[in-house]
Amino acid sequence: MQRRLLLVLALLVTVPTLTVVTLGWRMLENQRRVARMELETLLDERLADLEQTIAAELTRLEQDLATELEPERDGLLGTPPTSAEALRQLRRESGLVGMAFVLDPQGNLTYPPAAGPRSEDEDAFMVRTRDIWAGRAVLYEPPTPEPNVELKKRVSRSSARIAGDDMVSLAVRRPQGWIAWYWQDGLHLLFWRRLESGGVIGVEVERVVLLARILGRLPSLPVGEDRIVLVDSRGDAVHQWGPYEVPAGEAAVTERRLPYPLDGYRLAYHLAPARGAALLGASTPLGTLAGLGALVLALLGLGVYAYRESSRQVREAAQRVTFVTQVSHELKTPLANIRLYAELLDADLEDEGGPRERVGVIVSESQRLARLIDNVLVYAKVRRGTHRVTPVPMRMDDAVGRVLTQFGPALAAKGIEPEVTLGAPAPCRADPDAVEQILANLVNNVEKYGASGGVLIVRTEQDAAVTRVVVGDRGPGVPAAARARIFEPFYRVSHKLSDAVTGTGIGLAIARTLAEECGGRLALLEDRGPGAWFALEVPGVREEEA
Amino acid sequence: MTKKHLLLTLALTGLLLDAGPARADSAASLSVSTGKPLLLSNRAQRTFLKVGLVGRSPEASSRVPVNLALVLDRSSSMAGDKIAKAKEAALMVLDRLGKDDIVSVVTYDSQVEVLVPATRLRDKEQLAARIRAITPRGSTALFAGVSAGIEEVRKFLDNQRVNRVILLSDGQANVGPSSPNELGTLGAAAGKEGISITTIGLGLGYNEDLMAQIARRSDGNHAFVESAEELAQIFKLELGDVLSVVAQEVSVRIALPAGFRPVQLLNRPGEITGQDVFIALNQLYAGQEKYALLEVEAPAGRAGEALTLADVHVSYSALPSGKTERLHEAAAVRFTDSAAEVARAEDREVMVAAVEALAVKANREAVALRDQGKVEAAKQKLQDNAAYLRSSAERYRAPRLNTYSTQNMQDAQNLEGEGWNKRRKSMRKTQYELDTQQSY
Repeated sequence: MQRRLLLVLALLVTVPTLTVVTLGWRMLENQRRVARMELETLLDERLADLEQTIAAELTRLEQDLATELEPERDGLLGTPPTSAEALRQLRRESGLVGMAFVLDPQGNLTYPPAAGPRSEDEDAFMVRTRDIWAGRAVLYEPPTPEPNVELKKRVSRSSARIAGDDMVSLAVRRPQGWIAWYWQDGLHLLFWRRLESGGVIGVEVERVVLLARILGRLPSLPVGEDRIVLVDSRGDAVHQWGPYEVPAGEAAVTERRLPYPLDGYRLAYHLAPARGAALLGASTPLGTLAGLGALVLALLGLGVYAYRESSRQVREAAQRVTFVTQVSHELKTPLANIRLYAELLDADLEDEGGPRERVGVIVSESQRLARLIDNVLVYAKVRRGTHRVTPVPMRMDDAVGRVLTQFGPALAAKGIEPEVTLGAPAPCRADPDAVEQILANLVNNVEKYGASGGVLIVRTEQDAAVTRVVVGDRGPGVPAAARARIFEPFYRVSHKLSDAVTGTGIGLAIARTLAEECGGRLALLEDRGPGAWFALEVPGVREEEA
Repeated sequence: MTKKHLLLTLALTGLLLDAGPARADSAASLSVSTGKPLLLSNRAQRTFLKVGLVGRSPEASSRVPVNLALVLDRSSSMAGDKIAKAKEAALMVLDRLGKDDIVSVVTYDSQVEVLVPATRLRDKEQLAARIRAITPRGSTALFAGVSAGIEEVRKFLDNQRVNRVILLSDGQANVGPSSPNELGTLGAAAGKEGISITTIGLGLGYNEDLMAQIARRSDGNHAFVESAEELAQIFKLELGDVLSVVAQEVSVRIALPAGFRPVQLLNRPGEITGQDVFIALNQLYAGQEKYALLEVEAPAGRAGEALTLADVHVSYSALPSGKTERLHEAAAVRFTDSAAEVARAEDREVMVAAVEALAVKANREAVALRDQGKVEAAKQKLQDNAAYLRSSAERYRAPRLNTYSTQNMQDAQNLEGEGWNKRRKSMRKTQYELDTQQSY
C-alpha cells in the first residue's frame, strides 16, 4: 500500500518533470543553435573583412611588382628591364623578388641564360623551375569567377590546375598573372607580365617576404579576448591576433581561405570560451530556465508533502487500529467473566420471571459484545496478516443450531421468527469457530437490518463437494447501488444518523475473508425476491477424512 | 629608386668615367690589395683579394638622423630581470636620440603589438611610459615581430637616415615561419631596401643560427648577451654604430679580367657570375673598416709579366647628403721565378685577414660536425684550426690570430656537456664578428 503510493507519487513528479525538462532543453538547444549560427555569421564577416584587407594588400604588392617589370617611362633607355644586368639589379633591389626571368615569344628562357655565366642562385632557380620550362610541372592559377556563386561561402574555391599550358599562351589571354607551384619545401610563386614583344617577363616572389609585407601592414584587430589565427597549408600558425591561447586540437568557430595565390593559407577564428559562453548565454532565456527549475521544485515539494501527509495518516490509522485491538483484547477477559457469571446466575435462578429474564438479557448482550470483539480482533489479525484458520471436519447443521440458540432471545426480542430447514447433516470441512462467526455476522445483520420482515430464513443443503448455508430475510434488502461494495471493510449502506441501527461496518468483510480462508466463499444472492439473501459455501470433507 | 636605378644603369653601360681614387672629401675610402702581389711564374695558383672600405672619421658636425625600430621579445620567458633590463636599455636608446630621429617600438609574444608606431621623437616621456608598461606574456611570434618592425621602418624609409631594426629575443621562434633560412630571406629583403636588422640574443634560450642569419643577410650586427646586465652596454655600442653611419647602399663590383677565375667569397655573401662579383653592404661606419675577401685563381704567367688582377668599382650614397659617390681601384699581380721574392712580397695584412676568414670557415664547419653528433671530428677540426692559426700568427707576426687560436682551443674543450649551448652561441657570435668586422 505504502510502496504503491510512493510509486504513484514518484510517477506524478517525474513524468511532468521529465516532460518539462525535455521540452525546455530542446527549446534551449534550438535557441543556442540559432545564436551560434548568428555568431558564426558575425565572426565570418569579421574574417571576410580581414580577408579583404589582405586581398587589398596583395593587390597593392601586385601593382608594385607590375610597376617594377614595366619599362622605365622616364628613363633614358625606355625598354623593359630585360637585360641580364637589369634583371640582376632588380633582384638586388627588390626584397620581394627572389629571381627574375624572361621568356621569348617562343617560350624559351632568355634569362637566366641557358648558356653563359650564371650565379649560384641563378643555378638553383634553374633547378627549381626546370619542370616548369619543360612543361612538366603542375601549375595552379586562380579560378575564373563563376556567376551565381553563393556570395557567402565559408571557404572560397581553391586555385585550379593548369594542364598542358605554358606561360606564353597564358599571356595571350591576359596581361599579367600569378602561377603557383609546389616544390620541395612548399608553395612557390611566380608573378608574370606580358611583354610588348610577345614574350613574358616575370619574377619568383619570396613567399616569406610577401607574407611579412602583408602581415606587417595589417591593422591590429579588435578581437577582444578571442584569437584569429592565420594557418598555413601544414596547419601551423603563421600569425595570430588576440590573447586567447588556443588549446591544441580546438576546432575554429569559422574559417576562411585567403585569396589566390595565397589560398594555401586560411584564417581561423577561435572564440575564447568565456566570451563564447557570454555571447551564447546572452540569448539563453534565464527566466525560462528559472521557471523550469521552480516548476520541478514545486512538483517535487508537492510529491514529498503528499507522501509525508499520507504516511502520517496511515501511521495514525494503524495506531488507532492497534489501540482498538488492544482495548478489545483487554475487554475480552472481563467480558468472559461477566458471561460466565451471568450464565451461572441463570442456572442458579430456578423460577421463571423477572430476574431470569434480566439475566438472559445480560447473557445475550455479553454474547453480542463478545462477537463484536471477536470481529475486531479477527479484522486486526487479517490486516496484519497473522490470522490463521484451521479447517477440520465439522457438521454445518450443528453450527447453525449453535448460532440460532445463541441468537434465540435476541431474535425473539425483535419479533423475528426463524424458519430453519436443515439439510446438511454430513460433515463438511471448515473451521467451526470461523463458520460460527460468519453465521453470527449474517444473523446479526438480519437482526439489525431485516427485522421489518419478521422472519429469518436459514437453509442448509449439501452434496459431496459443497455444503451450503443460505441466510435470508424479508426486510428491505440491499439497495442495488450498494451491492458491489457491501463486502468492503467499513462500508455502510446508510450513514444517516437518523438510522436507529448502527454497526462497525466490518462484519461482512470479515465474514467473506473467513469464508475464503476456509476454502469456501460467501456471496450475496440476487433475485430471491424481497430481503437480503446470503449464501455461504464450504468444501466437503476430503476422502481420507470421510 | 628610379633615380638610383637610372644612375646604376648609366654606370653599367659605361657612360660614366671612372670616379678615380678616393677624394679627400668622400665619405669612404677604398683599398684593394692582394695577398700575393708577386706570383710564381708558369703555374696556375690561387691568391686572395681584399677589398676594404673605411668610413670617414666622424666630424663634429651634426650626426645623421636615424629611423629605428626596436623589436622587443615580451614572451613569458622574458619575465623578471630580463624584461626589466630590456626596458632600461630601450629607455636608454630613447634618451640618446633626438627630435629629428624616428623611433618605433614593436613588442611580440604570441601576437604582435606595435607599441609605438613610427613617429618623430617629439614626446619622449609618452614613449617612455609605454615602454615601462611592457609586461611579459605568451609565446614567441618572432617572424611577425620582425615583419612589423620592418614595416614601421619602411613607413619613413629614406636614404638620408640610418634605417635599422634592433631585434631582441631570448627564445625560439614558435609562431610563424621559424627556420633560419626563412628568417634569413626576410632579413635579405630588408637589407635590399637598406634596412639592417641587428639581432641581440639574450640568455641561453635563443636560436643563434636564426639570429645570426637575419643579421648576416640584412648586414646588421649580431650580439650574444648572456646576462641581462650587459644589455644596456650592448645597446649603447649598437647605438654608437647606428649614429656613426657615414654611407649607405654600398655596392661593390669586382671585375676579373679573362684568365682569372673568382673561386669563392670568404667572409661575406655575394654573387659570383662569370668574371663578375657583386657584394652589397648596407652601410659603412665612421672610422671602421669593412672588407670582403675573394679567393682568386690566377693563370700561369711568364716571369716579369704584370697583369691586372681585378677592377673594383664601389658606389654608395653618402650621408647626410644622400649623394651617390663612386670609387674605383684596381689590383695587379706580377710574376717571378723566385719563391723567396714571392714570400717577401706577401701582404701581411691581407694574409692575416684571409687566414682569419679561413679559420672562421673551419670553426663553422666544426659546429656543423658537432651538430651531427661527431664530437671527436669537431674537436680535431678545432685543434687543427688552432694550430693553423698559431703557426700563421708566428709567420705573419699577428697576435690577433693567436687570440683566435686560443679561442678555438677553448671551443674544442667545450663541445660537450652543459657548456656547449653557451659555447655554440659565443662561437656563432665570434664567427659573425670576424666575418663582418663588427665593432663589438
